[in-house]
Amino acid sequence: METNELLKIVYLGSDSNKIAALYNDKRFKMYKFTEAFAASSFLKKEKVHAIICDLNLKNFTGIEYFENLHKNSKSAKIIFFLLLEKYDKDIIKTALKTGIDDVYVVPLYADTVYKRIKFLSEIKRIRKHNKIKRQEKYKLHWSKRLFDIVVASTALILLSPLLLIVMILIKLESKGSIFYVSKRVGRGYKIFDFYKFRSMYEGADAKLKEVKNSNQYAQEVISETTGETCPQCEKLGHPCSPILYIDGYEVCENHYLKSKKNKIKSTFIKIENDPRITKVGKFIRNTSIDELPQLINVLKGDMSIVGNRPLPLYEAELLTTDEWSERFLAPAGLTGLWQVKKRGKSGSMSAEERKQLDNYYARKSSFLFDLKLIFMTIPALFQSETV
Amino acid sequence: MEKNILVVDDTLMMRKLIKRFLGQFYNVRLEENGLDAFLSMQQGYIPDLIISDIQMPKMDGFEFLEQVKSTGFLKDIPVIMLSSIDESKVRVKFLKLGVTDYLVKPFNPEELVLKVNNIFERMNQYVQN
Repeated sequence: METNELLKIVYLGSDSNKIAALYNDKRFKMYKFTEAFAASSFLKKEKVHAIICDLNLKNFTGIEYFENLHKNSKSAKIIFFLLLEKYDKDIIKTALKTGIDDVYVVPLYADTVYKRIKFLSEIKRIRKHNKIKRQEKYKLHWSKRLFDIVVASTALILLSPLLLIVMILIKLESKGSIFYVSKRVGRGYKIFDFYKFRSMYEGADAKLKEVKNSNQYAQEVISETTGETCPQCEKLGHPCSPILYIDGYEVCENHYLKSKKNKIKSTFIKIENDPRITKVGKFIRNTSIDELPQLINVLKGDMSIVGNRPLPLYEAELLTTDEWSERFLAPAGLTGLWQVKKRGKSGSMSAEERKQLDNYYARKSSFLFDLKLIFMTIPALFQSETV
Repeated sequence: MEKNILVVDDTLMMRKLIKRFLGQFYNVRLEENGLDAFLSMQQGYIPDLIISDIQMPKMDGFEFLEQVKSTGFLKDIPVIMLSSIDESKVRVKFLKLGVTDYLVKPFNPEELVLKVNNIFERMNQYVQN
């Protein structure tokens, strides 16, 4: 269809006032019929772009007329619009299912119809070549699941004496439950209960505030550093040598830097000797025994032995972008690329790096790759470093 | 009656995630571009709400929406755009076309569900009045 071609339209119905907008528009040439028979014979001779048809004709409905037209001739390729007096979803559905191109409720606007006809004639051409095929599969391979079940159950059985002792010790040392349960997000954004051995005192979150308060002290110090003499220099009996000027105040550099260091430390909640952690807790954390209950998660199917980081909800929400959503293709894992790289490098990595590793794993994961990661985790486990 | 939601997004995992968030409450159908979405609606699938991405192959969100708005049978269906484009100019362009809402990726899943719930709630009230 050329861009500025005149659109020829047959209107079959009783009242052309309903589509007066089309009659008044120079882009259309209208042919009006009240009798279906007359319209049909006209359509045999003349090539038109579209038919607009009332729902209620004299002896039958517009839908029936369309079906009849469809059966009898090649003119079925012509774009066909049904015109309703008022909105009716059932009629619209039936009409679309028989193959009618669109259903309009009066009044009709010229621009809309023009745009629609242009588009539909394009679509009819495309549709022939566009077989819709879809690949929505993202199922976990059965071999991975089987591997998970075998490894997790074997490990649980072999480790059961150790697990039992740890469970008793946790119970003995402090009040509270054996497991610490939190919500994590796994494969395909499945939210599940994530198990760990409890390594902190019950009500640790309240204790966190106490810890923060004791750190507040460090922050107060820094606000006091300005305009004061450095206590250390005073003690040594010499004037502060390198002097900084902050907001017009003289400050001892040594004093300032020290306070700043303290302040930075205090902003991290991870504190060297965190009073919230129990003695048993400290031991099972350092040996990663606290992570072992995740074997139950593996058996339940929430996680895999090898996979991506099981994310807390607030972190998972940040990954609802096209790019990062890919990580949810892979299951959450007991170990994975993130573990191996992190422990190996003995340093923390940026959020960006971690996200990239997750996506990389989701794309690359295979049985051999999994095995490789497991073997790389084993030596990493023995480097004592809190993760 | 359970509501039908059509989700149009070219990223497989994004489609899956949206289905995960909304599938517990609604019937969700997934399409990977504007054209496929349009063809399935053309064949008689009429959703109660459309959630669409903007950057897609074959037919992008803008053209898709323009076509939806020029039909007789889809023009009144509420549409939420869900895109990584976070520019007021783009949002305005879509709001002018008549979209109900515009949400930027990354998004909070709860926020999406609530927005959808609210739209249906408003529709119900409208029908009752």
